Amino acid sequence: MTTNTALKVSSFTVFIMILPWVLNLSSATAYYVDVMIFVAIHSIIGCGLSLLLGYAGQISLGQAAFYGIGAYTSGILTVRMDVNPWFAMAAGIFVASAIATAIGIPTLRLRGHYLAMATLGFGMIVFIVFNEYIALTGGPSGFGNIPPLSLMGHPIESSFSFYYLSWLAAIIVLTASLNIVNSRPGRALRSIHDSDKASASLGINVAMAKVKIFVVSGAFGALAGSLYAHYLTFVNPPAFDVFFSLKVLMIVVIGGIGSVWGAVFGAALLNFLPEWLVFLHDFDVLAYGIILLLVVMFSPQGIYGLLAGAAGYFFKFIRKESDHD
Amino acid sequence: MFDTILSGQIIQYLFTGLTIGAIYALTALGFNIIHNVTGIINFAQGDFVVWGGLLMVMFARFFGFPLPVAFFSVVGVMVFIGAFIYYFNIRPIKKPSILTMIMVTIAVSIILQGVAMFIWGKEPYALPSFIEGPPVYVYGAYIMRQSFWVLGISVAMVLFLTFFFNRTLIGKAMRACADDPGAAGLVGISTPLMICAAFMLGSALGAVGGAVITPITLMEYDRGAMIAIKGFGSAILGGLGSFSGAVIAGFMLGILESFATGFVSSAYKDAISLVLILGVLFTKPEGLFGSGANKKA
Amino acid sequence: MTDQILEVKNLTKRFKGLVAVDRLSFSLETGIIKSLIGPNGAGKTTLINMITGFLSPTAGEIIFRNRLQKHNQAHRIAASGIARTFQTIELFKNMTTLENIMVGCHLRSAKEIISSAFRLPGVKKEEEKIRDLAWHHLKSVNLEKYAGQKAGNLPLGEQKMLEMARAMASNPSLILLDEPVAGLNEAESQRAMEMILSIRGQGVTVILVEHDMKVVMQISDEVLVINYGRWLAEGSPRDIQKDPNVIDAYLGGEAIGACH
Ligand SMILES: Nc1ncnc2c1ncn2[C@@H]1O[C@H](COP(=O)(O)OP(=O)(O)O)[C@@H](O)[C@H]1O
Ligand SMILES: [Mg+2]
Repeated sequence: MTTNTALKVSSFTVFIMILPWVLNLSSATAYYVDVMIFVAIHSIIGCGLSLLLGYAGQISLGQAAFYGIGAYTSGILTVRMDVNPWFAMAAGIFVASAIATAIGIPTLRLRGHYLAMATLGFGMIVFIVFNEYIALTGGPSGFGNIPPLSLMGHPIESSFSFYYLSWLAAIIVLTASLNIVNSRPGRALRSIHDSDKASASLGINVAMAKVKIFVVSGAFGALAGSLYAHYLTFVNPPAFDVFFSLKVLMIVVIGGIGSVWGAVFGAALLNFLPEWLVFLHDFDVLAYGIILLLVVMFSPQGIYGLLAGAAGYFFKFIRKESDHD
Repeated sequence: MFDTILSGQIIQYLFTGLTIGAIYALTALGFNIIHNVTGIINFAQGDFVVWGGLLMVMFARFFGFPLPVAFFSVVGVMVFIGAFIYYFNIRPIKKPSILTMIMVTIAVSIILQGVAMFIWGKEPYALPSFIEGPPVYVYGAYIMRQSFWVLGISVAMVLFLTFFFNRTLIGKAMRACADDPGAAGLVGISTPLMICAAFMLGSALGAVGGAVITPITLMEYDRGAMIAIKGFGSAILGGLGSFSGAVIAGFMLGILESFATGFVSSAYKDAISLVLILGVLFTKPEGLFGSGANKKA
Repeated sequence: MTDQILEVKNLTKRFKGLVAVDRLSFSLETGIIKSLIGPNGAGKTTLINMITGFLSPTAGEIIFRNRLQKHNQAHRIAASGIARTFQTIELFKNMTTLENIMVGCHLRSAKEIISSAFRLPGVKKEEEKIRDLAWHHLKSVNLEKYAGQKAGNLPLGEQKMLEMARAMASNPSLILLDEPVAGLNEAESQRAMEMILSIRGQGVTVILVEHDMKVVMQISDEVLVINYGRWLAEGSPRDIQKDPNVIDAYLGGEAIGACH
């Protein structure tokens, strides 16, 4: 990580650490701490798709599957088998990574529309299993009583403490993603995006690189899902449907496809927008669709791109070397 | 040997399968028409079907239009929506990469879904059969009258498309664009117009499917994604771009699903179809019939 | 045994009805520049694609450093020490010039996702090593001033130089250049020729596809002529120029030296 990136990450961390104290000053804003927890969780799954889509140029319309696999593995292991929540979380990440490997090897040989449809189909199949494999998943009604994560005997239950846990995870994921992007494997991914022929001619195993980043995106998705399950202490299928996969896509694309930071911006927008547009009720979906359309049509670099462009315009940043973040 | 009950059951499943399959076939044709002319896979194709069904409910049940009037009004509205989507969402795209087009059509799909929820809410809507009456008894199976409508109209659509693409000027021009956009431009066929025509035809085709199937399956705002992937699956199974392949594969998928429901489990019927579609995508993306029509993978 | 780096035996590539490369055999001595010439559509690019693993041969053998190449994938062949450039430039357009060459150094490091993500010990050093190496290769083609610019924005001549430098960054023992001089102006092609000579100077064997006979005659040690995918002639530039078969083949289309 170059100094520029390190500076951004550390300023962001400070901002995140202070934020709940500010929000808690007023009872009107205290609720936003909860919203911010979802921003963290969605940033995590968004970072995964950002690496896959924004850097490797491979689309996935099935990220909800990994989110669900993380959540259900955590839930099932802790509730039915009394496994320690942290182990359950690790198990969820492991299971999701294994499934991502198995499904990624045939899937990522496909391109464009075929890849999009195959990942969509994969997500739908997993969703059907959540609904129908009742003995394991509790079916459409799901199941509850998932124990919270705990630290040295103290359960992390309150919004305040879970906020810090989820953002710790999110910042680790963000930092890891930035590190990947700015080193050998990340450069390989970006090179594939531009020319897989040239990448192969330089010794990059294109197929394997795609599968690997798909596995990373699956692992991030499962981590997010597991956090979700332990926070809500309850899981049921609707949280993991096709629409959630599309939501992750929107988070990444609206936030800004050219940077993993975009995922954080996108997650913030998609979680705060419904709070501000409560009068829209369920029709926030419509707002997302329109924003997605506008972004794709008129600002392909998303919010992050707009902000970075504006910042660059005002401050005329002088960068010695391009640092991709 | 099958006893009569079992054979009756088989005919029952076969008919149910053909009926559902007809919708997949129409959806697949919609995918093919737009794909052949533009190279785009339109992720909103399933939402056209949903809109067709819900508009039909609105015109026939709530506005009380006579059936033929309702039906043609649905087609008219959807032709307009198809053109609207082209002019305002597809044409302005300056750098139409595959990824961009995927995201644009996904955004259109989400918007269509959102507007549908806005207009019709979340509950499923029923529609009476086009001709009321008890099911018809055929060889030990009871076939819903609407099934005949679905099959009849689907066959009519296939005949219409065959005529349209082989005999009409605009149909031939669209085929020319599909084969070679550059050359088509040279001989004065306006490609944007053809793309617009493809979107109009594609959305109308989806809507016809939705209008005729709703009396059997009901319709609700969020059915689009599942219909789209089954229709896309049929288009792939049949060899993307191939019309006859799409029709055959659509019926095959419908029949498979119907038998899976009958003999395996209704809970997993969708999963079984999806696994088949993924299997074909992984092993034979050029389609089961190896027509080789697919060039733009 | 002579010091041969590459041997091609009866190599054939058939596309449906068309035979693009037809029972072609030749061998390549280590450390020389061998030019591959032939009219458009003769099968030069197809041959390069087979040697570099982008196409699998219909029949025949490719022996590189005394080892038979099996149905190999392109990235494995790159790892065995064969680099290439492309007839239609294949730069990473959205990456900077320096990053392009850093990708060229891919094979010189083995750091993977997990160690990179958590900056495990050694990653930083490796990254610095790659950066230094990349700068070294960048300087070898005088592109330092473009280091931070997107490769897609470079002038054509610089793009071709960058593509060669990137291929060289993978530290190959054999490099195949598919028309690296085509489309360049006088000054640019002079630079490209100097670059190709300096590649040979570093002990790397070169296969050069080129239409411009002036270039071919000036810098090649040997010339191989193919026509309709078949071996037509092979020898020193001087012999080739006088070879009646070659003159015949070219008179059918264009005269030697007037191709560009
Ligand atoms: N992928 C391919 N599929 C079908 N034909 C091909 C393919 N690649 C090359 N060809 C054909 O093979 C012949 C040789 O092409 P190529 O190797 O590109 O020639 P050159 O590089 O000598 O100009 C040409 O007739 C060309 O059309
Ligand atoms: Mg060539």
